[in-house]
Amino acid sequence: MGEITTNHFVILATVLFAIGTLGVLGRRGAITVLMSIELMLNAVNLLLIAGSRQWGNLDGQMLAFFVIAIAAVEAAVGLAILVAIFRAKESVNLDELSALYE
Amino acid sequence: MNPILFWILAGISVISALFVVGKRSPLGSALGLAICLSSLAGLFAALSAPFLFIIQILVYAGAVIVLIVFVIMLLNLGRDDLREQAIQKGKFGVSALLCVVAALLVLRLTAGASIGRAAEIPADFGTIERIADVLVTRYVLPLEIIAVILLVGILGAVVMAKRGE
Repeated sequence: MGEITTNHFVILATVLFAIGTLGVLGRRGAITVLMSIELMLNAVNLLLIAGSRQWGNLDGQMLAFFVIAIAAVEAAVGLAILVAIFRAKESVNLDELSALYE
Repeated sequence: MNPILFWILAGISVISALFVVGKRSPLGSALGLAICLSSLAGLFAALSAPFLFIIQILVYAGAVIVLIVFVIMLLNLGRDDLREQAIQKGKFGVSALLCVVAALLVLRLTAGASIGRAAEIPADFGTIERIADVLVTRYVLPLEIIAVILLVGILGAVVMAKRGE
């Protein structure tokens, strides 16, 4: 176990982002997909903060702060849409919500 | 930073992230997400970002998780709904293959790059004082825009979730 460098954080963020993408592509439950999107946003935040530490510059941390704020709004609006869809269709299965696709 | 701390937190975050995408019940996924976000908060603290550590715990592991769990309880999906949402092996397998290939491609492209040693930073890097110095000077316009977006988001969520008459 050598010294931990920024490269380690790049690898960890890539792995977490890939896992989040897998959740978005491979799952059918809308709530799980929303949670996977949160996971992807957090992987990006980790990368931003690691970059901020690497170059001793606070801009990365500021951007991560704004990402967290936007992600909170996204979760609130997304879940509200989900509740509205569930009222109308009695389902949150993404395979059944294809009215715009067909 | 301490290598042992990094490997423990990284391991917990990856395993709990796999929980998020792998569990059948949404509540299990939410638990995995909470653990993952908390361990990432620990990594933020280790990366000299104490302010974002607090924000991560408060906003993500607190508010967002509570919101998600609240909606899961509200929808109260039955056993049949959850069976419909079970993982389809073919679709999930193809997605997993795609993600692994994409991740390996990214790692292959970044592996050779050497970005050198981390910069020397002052002891108060990332504390609330330093963040505030930047936030209300250089980033005051984005801050105001975020405030408006939050307001619009809250109102929009209320309007959409309201029962139509």
